Amino acid sequence: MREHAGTVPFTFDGKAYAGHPGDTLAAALVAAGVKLVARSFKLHRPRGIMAAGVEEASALVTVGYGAHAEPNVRATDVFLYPGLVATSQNAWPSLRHDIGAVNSLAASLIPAGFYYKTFFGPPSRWMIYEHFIRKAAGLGQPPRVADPDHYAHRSAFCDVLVVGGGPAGLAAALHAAEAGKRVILIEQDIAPGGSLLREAVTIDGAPGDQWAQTMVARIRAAGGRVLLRTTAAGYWDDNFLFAVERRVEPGQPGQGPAQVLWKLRCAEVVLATGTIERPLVFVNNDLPGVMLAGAARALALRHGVAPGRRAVIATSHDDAYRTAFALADLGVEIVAILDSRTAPAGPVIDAARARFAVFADARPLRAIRSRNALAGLDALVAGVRQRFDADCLAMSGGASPVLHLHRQAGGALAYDAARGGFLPGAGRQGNTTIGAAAGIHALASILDQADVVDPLGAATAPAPGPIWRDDVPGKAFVDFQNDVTTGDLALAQREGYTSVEHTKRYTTLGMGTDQGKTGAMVALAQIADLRGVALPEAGLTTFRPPYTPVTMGAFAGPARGDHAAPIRRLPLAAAHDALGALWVPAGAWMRPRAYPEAGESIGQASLREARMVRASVGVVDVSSLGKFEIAGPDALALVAAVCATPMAKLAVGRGRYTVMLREDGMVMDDGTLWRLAEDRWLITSSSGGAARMSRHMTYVADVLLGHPRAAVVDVGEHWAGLAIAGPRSAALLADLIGAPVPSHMGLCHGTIAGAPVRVLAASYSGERAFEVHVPGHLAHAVFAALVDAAQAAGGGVYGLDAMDHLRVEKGHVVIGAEADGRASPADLGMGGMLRKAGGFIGWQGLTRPALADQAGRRQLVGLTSIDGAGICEGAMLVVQQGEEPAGHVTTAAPRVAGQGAIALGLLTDGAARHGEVLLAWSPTRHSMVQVRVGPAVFHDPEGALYHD
Amino acid sequence: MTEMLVGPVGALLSLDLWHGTDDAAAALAAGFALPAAGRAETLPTGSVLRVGPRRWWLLGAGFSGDAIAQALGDSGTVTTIAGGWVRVQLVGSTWRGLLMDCGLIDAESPDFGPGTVAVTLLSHARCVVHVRDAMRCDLFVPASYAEHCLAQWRDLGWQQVAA
Repeated sequence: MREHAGTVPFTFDGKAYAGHPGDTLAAALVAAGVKLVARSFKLHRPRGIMAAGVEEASALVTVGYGAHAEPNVRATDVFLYPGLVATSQNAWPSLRHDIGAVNSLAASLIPAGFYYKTFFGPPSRWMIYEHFIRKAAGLGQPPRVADPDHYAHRSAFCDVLVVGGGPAGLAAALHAAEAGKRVILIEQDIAPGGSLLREAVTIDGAPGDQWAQTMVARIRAAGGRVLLRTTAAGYWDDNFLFAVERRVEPGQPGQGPAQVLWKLRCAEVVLATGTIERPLVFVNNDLPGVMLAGAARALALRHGVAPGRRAVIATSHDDAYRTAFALADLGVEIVAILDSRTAPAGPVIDAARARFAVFADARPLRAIRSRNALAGLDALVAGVRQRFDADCLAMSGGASPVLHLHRQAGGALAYDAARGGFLPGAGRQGNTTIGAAAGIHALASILDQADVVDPLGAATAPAPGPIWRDDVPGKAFVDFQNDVTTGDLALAQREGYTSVEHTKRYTTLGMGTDQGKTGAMVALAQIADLRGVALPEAGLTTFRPPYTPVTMGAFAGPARGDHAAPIRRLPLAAAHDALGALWVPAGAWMRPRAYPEAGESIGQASLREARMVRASVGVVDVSSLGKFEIAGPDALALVAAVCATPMAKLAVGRGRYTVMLREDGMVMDDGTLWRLAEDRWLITSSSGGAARMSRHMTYVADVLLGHPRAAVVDVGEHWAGLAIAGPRSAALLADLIGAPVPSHMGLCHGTIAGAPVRVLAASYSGERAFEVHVPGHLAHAVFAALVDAAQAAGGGVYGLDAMDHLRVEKGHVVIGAEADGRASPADLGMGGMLRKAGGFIGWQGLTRPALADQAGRRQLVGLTSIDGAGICEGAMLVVQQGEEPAGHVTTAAPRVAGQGAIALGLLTDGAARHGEVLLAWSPTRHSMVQVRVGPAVFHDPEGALYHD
Repeated sequence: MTEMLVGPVGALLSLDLWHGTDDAAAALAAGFALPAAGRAETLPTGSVLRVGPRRWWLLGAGFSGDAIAQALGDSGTVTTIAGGWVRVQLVGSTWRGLLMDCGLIDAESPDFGPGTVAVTLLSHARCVVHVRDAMRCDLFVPASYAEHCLAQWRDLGWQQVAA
């Protein structure tokens, strides 16, 4: 008999109770005489405690309150803590008097497939249907405020991961740890022992639970890590598993993370996951008071709680007999043991016959209900109906090995007819299954090195319960959470949903939060019987992670709020803040969008900044651009493969605009290419494409060119980049570096504010412009000097929006908008820039007929708003409203050098349609603007402004 | 409590060699040993970290990039990269666990001892880890990710102090 150490106060539906430390909520409620715990999902039938662990399908409650409330918690899987508040769910106005129970009276009107047959019609009606469906059926309510708990992630590596802290798992973990291996043992319960917690056995002279504690201490002493209250929920390739550790119980406020999601990489995985008991099928087998025999035994032996006063045991195998002894020892009257076998025999049965009334060839037909609970049952005993008065029915229809992780890892299954189920076959990832999960039940066989004393003899393999063939009218459940009955399975078969996958979806079998842990094999046996096939032929559904529900917070871990996604900061972020920058995300980067002055909108500010550049000088931060140095004797070959433009004759100290293609010939990125020394080059790329370019160049070097004598070094983070543009930029920069600035597409080195800089004469704005590169950690002084000088010259800083206005006016494409992954160089007007001799990546792709013949391609065009109205980005380009679009607007901007609005677009055969008037039509934004098609370059098409 | 000392990385060069057979010659030419994969060497002039199959980092002002490049000739190249990295020194007994809180790295491995170098994702950023001793570990964080990483690590309980 278990001794209790103190009491723990808690409430259920507002009523105060007291339990004992280590009790589950389920055990405490049963001890307090509470049988009705929940209402079922669909029919609102009364439900009580059926299981003793994570497999519980019915007893779902909300634990905690306010922001800490956690819905759909299994009462069998939450351990008492002082102040625990539990509330029933899916019942109104009260659990006992639930209006929704009317569904049960109308059950014949809402069979499986009811929704599919009833709620059809225009999709808009679903908005109405859904409201009522969700009101009528459902689980608990999610909290309406943000989860105050926080969740952590943790990685761990080991030689051997053992999942399951029962006798087999403990023994395996200790063996490995003492052999010097790095071991992690995971157990979902708060206490180790697994099945030992519900057995009256001694091992090496100690009770099972104490032996388990000793084993944990030995594993830890040998260097192993033991994670209790941790569930291995998913098993992926390469022995990667994730497990969720509960640091506090559901609804319990606490310090530190509430849960930790462990990412486990293991050399070897040992699955000691035990079994889950199966229910028997009979009418009203879901009534409060009907429970699995193993759960009743756990209540008695682990928690010292009697599940009733008068109990009937119904079983198909020996194991449930143990429950009779356990309950009887607690003072429960064992009314009868009903064994479906015609001639059960063995030591435990002989012992039972000496104390109890044992009936062979006997099985329940119908549980009798009184006041929402079990009052007795009608049974078939040797072909004769017989009634038994009982308030507890402990049933067992066999046991199913827990094979979820084995199957997630791709393991095979082996059908065992004697057990009526599957055992694990070969593992795919070097994983092994041991103990009861592998079909080994005798403790002495599992612990062959230990002295095991089991007063009821060795446990034997459990045989399956009998098939239910609607012997009596009523509802016999196979899926207790989703209210799926044998009648639903039969209906699905009659209506042609014979495949188990179809049956599952038609009836929602196994689709609840319990994923059919208790009832799946029972249902499969029923389906196989209905189809007249053997069980393996009926098929199995997929075992998908997670094994038990995992809160989204655990998946997110620390990646929430400000940490939801990484944000890349410019080295000059603080300086931009000081200048009043408004920030905008650009990929992972945060970049200054504009620097509005008092009273200015963003649009006004960006237009002012753009016009400032056209009129005098502006400074913009381009540090986020990709930058790569390629150096070595074979650097030219590598650059020539990556860049599609000519460069072999490029002199040292010179650069040029370039474009990089994918192997299919489409534009991947663009930038500039500079020859820093004879065998050293600098390639710049777009900000968003930098990571892609880095991967691409590594691929080209290592795979396509076979490790040339050249290195690609990503110097994007090293060099801060500051572009200075405008008619006064050259003079300003020359003053700062104290030397003449290079001509367009030339470079020089110098010093600004004491920092070494590299000056590249390149323009993205259409004005004379330079990029000043300075090591990131030295950039502040250079930026300050440039801004001061620009402001003194009547200019200042400008942001991303102004830069966009300027480049649209100049007809420069941007990666992602015009170069959208479907555009070839010729589509973007760059065909003439490519090396005629080819030899670059994408060259062969461009020779495909579909690309070589430009007819029908969408080509870059400029668009001018005829009445000056703004053009919507993304708008369709059509000849008339309602026509198929001939293209779309890629980027739009106000005219900087002048008035009105302009845009760039991709238009079918656009190069031949200059002068044509189209509609830029965006029905979703209620915008239609007449535009005239023309060249993409609106500003200084000859490039005269690039030269001093 | 583990403390984070955050500061600039100091002088940092990337040394790239083309072929494995160049290692010995390059080491001879450069005048220092090139550590094997996953290892670092501490020299009077600074530290040498192997951060890739063909890439080493030279940390410290004692390395002359021009001189090393000249010595290497056509067998390798040297590139300055100091501006792109922030050094975070972890000081305390729990730094291994803290690494495993924000990355998938086996920092508890017995092989992950002093002199070990790893390149791995920590808090979404590709970082370089250099184990100094039982109580100290250097992290090199891409400068643009540093604010994000440091904020997350502070939330994990790391205490940031000035370097």
